[in-house]
Amino acid sequence: MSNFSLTRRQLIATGVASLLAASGTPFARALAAERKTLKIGMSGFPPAVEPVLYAHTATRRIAPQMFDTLIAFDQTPEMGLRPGLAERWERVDGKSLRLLLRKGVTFHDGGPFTAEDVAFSFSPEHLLGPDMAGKVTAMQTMDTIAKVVIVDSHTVIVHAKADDALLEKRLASWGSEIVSKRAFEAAGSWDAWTAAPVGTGPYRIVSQTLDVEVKLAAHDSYWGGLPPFSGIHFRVIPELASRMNALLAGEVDFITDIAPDMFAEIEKHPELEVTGGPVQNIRYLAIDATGPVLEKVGVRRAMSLGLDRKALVQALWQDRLPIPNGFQFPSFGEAYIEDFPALAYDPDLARKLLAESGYNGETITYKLLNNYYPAQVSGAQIMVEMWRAVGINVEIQMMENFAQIQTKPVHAIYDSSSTAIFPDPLAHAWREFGPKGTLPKGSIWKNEEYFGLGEKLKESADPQARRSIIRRMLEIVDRDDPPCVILHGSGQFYGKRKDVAWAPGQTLDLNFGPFNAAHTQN
Amino acid sequence: MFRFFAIRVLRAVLTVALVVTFAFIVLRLSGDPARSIMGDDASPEAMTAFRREWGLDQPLWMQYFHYFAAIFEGELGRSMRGGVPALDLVLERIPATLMLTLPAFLMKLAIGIPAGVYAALYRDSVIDRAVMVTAVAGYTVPSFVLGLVLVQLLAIWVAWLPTGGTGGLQHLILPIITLGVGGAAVLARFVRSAMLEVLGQPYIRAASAKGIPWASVVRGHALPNAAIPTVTIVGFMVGNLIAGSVVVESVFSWPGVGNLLVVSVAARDLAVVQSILLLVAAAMVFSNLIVDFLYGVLDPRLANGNTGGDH
Repeated sequence: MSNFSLTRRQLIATGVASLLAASGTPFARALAAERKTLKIGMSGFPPAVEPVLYAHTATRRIAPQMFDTLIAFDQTPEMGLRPGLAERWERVDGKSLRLLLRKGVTFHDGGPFTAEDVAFSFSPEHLLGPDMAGKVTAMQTMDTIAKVVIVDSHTVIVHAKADDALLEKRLASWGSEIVSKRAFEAAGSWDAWTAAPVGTGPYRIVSQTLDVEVKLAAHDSYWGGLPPFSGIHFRVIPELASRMNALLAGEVDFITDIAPDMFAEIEKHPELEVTGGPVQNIRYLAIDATGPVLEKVGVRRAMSLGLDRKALVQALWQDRLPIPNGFQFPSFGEAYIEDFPALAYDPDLARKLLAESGYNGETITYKLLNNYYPAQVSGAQIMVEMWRAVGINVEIQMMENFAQIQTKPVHAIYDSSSTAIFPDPLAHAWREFGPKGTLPKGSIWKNEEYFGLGEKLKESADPQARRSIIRRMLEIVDRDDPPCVILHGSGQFYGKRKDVAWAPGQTLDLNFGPFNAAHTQN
Repeated sequence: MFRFFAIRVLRAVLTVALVVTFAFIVLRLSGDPARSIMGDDASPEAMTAFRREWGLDQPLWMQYFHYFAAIFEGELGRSMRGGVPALDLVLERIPATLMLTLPAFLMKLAIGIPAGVYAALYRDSVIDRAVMVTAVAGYTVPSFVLGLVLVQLLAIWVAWLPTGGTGGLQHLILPIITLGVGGAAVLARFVRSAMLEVLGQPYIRAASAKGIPWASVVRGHALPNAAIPTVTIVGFMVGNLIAGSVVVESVFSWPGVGNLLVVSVAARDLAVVQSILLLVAAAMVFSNLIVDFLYGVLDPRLANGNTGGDH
């Protein structure tokens, strides 16, 4: 079983660009000289640019420029797989994958990429972080990897601990980036390594100044072709108004995290545009199902049925965000239950369920952060009115951070979001509602049937068997014992100059390399 | 005299200890550094490892004990974000902050004091009213609003200056003006008020009646006596030099102590926040000590514990 998704045009473009870049011809030099430095205003500084350590949004905006994975997501809505540092791959058995590595790839320091680097990148020494203490985010996807066997300098077999239908996706997801073993060992310590980690990506790190900036320069011998920019200057501008001003004044070419009420202001300027859209993340309201009122399933369902999500998304997001059918995305492919019912708006049924539950207008507390998520407060105010219309009495209580919200007893609802680290329920809903998930760990919801189904899902490779398990899990979350109220898909929106060729992907990752769709489709 | 200063030094040490204790308790009870720093998508195992590494899994009293014991050894802890010593991180940022606050402080003095004196000397004149209207406007407009208005006018519309960040002298102008305007307004109002009070005193009338030229009366009698309340507010401004530009640094993305404080509070980077608070408290206490000392110099009766009020 092998999997390719590079088009012929992409392949030719990539090959020609690589040859030109590598050849150092006058044309290639002219092409390189014409490029400009891309200036980006972003909201926060990454805690580190080493992707095994953090999945922080700021990290995910920089890491894809510096590192490659063996297999990569194509960032189309289907989230298909394409070759990365592995030219091709094939299943050995249910738990093993043979990968044939790309030859002639060099790291930022000029060192060659070989199977040794793959084995090191997936070793506990790297994946478990400093002192192998496990203070890392990579293990949430890579903990199923047992070992890497080196067949030859450019062939490896990756073994999972058990049958793993998702192994290919894991090798394309956060935390599976390949680093240089030689450079890591030369650094001598994690502190030195994280100051300037070495990957094979289209840009290499030049400098990073805490809370101020991260500077990258083009890695012109990149295997995927000449990087479109001579460098990238990530400037940390935490205040949204200041980021906007920097864009309007032409000091930066691209800004992150813009709020919907700024779309119109940006689009007033002919040289600027709003870009971005839905990403693989669901915004939801977590429910403490152990509380005196919210323990009643009927009340929880009524809260969902009382929300007119279409009106909410229209009012807050100019209809730019999707409303999913259940806690899933179409990108899950065979694991996507396409006929699962859409989230209903049914005030009459909501009132009926409330009456059957014996709900008598008791106050339900909504612990709310001040726009931790974009448009969060205005969204909460709209929802409180929608609930009031069906007879649910929700009272907002402002909080400063999640630790305050999750102080026990919670006895409330609160905003949360869930990223599909790779396209499958095990990398999405299971991370929230499985026994080690956010809600059960917080002791605010548990469902033994759900936990049992998830364990079965982990062991199952048969698509049809998986689908029936997933359908039942979706029913539990949506109808039988809801741990949450699903709101809508999340979005990431950016303001940018129109003359910067760049297309958004499906995740928090930003990709300014030659594989960005704006370059591969031209 | 010794008792006068000894009491104040003891009071200063107690104040710093209280500030640090209060910050310790509030920060530890009101947020979780693991979640802030590791991010939303971190696994519970990673969070647990983070808490263990930084001792956040220990009881609060034990964390407090370790923290205070370390302070007495001159150790203020390490930043949970950067892993570097917190004090080094803060000290690195002080020059950047002083690049804004020192010129702004001079601007406050250069504008505020003459404006206040002038307004008092020409009380109820057009000049007085103009100074006071300007001062009230400068005092009441929040610095983030003034900063954004200045950016709109000078950085976006006419594009003379950058909107923020660092790079050259031109990056300093807008933040300094934003910081200086509010302080100058405050100072102008204080100085005017102090001068008016002094100018109404019998000794001013007496000096004037003796035929001393008015300019000499103002220089020799009014200004020195009006200096005491003015020194108080100027001392407060000196104490604020290190962390008095939090909002302005945020608006202009200036990498100073204020910006570090905002980011560190949000991330609950406890050692860094506590180091900043310790420095700010120390600076404030030190400037108050200087002010107390200057009181004694300006009016020796205060140092002797004798205000003369009963004589």
